[in-house]
Amino acid sequence: MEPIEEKLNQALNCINAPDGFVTRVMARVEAHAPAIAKSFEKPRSSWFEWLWPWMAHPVPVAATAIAMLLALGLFLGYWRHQATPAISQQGRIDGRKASAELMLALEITSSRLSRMHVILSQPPPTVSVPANLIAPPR
Amino acid sequence: MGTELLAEDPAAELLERATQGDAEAFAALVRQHQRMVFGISWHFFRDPAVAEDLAQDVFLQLFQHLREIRSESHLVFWLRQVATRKCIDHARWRQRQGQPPLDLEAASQVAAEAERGDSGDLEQLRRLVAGLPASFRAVVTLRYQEDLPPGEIARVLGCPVNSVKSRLQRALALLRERMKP
Repeated sequence: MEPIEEKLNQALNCINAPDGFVTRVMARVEAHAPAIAKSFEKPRSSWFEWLWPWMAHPVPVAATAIAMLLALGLFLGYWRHQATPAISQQGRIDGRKASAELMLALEITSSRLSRMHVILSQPPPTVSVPANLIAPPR
Repeated sequence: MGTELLAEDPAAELLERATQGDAEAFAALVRQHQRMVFGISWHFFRDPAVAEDLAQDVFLQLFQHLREIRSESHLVFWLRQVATRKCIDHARWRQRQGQPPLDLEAASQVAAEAERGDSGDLEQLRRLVAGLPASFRAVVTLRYQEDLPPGEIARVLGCPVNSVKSRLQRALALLRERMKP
């Protein structure tokens, strides 16, 4: 160690604060204490305040949350099960209606085709020409 | 088991009580650490009013952050760090305000005090330390008042170890130069 370092070791030592220092610090602490207490509470937003007591007991809270999720799942499954027949009934009615319209269209088309078939299958009409209109052979 | 540990370690018990809002315990903590905190700010400024103000600020801040303190060693580290940073900030503020640097004042009294022998020599050295740039003062105070190795000083100041070593060397060089008769 250099001489200057030894001197620094001797020169720089801890020093007692003036008399009454602790009392003055405590007075400042007491003056600030209510504000500090408020500052501990303030940062919590309303949802955090609501959540905070629950977070102290994580296992029961997690169990309750899982049970609630299961109940919600069961309810949604039941609701879907109830709602599905109503939806399919309406679909069935629409289907039947569409089917009937299709049948009608097919019948109309079929009858038209039958008539055309009848007309086409008849022999062509014979035309009789009077004898006086036929020119005599030369 | 926790209670047994607390009973075996009075410092931890004191800290625990202070954290729970026991004013007597907090006052005991202040009493226990005031020498270190006041010492740092005194060697920085050599002004009793400024040193006391800064030391009070440090303990007030400690009261606000007691919940973050995990152990006695963490408390000492925290106090050193906050005290040093407050001193550096205040020194820089003084500089911005255009207040006269302390080394000029110290230089005018050096000759007279140097004649007093050893104690005068030490007093001269203290004044010269107070006249160093703030970052040098911090390193020198932590090294020679608190006996911290460079690695620990780097942790307190939040800077690389090499910066601490170089500041220390430059500070010693400046002091040697100014100490010359």
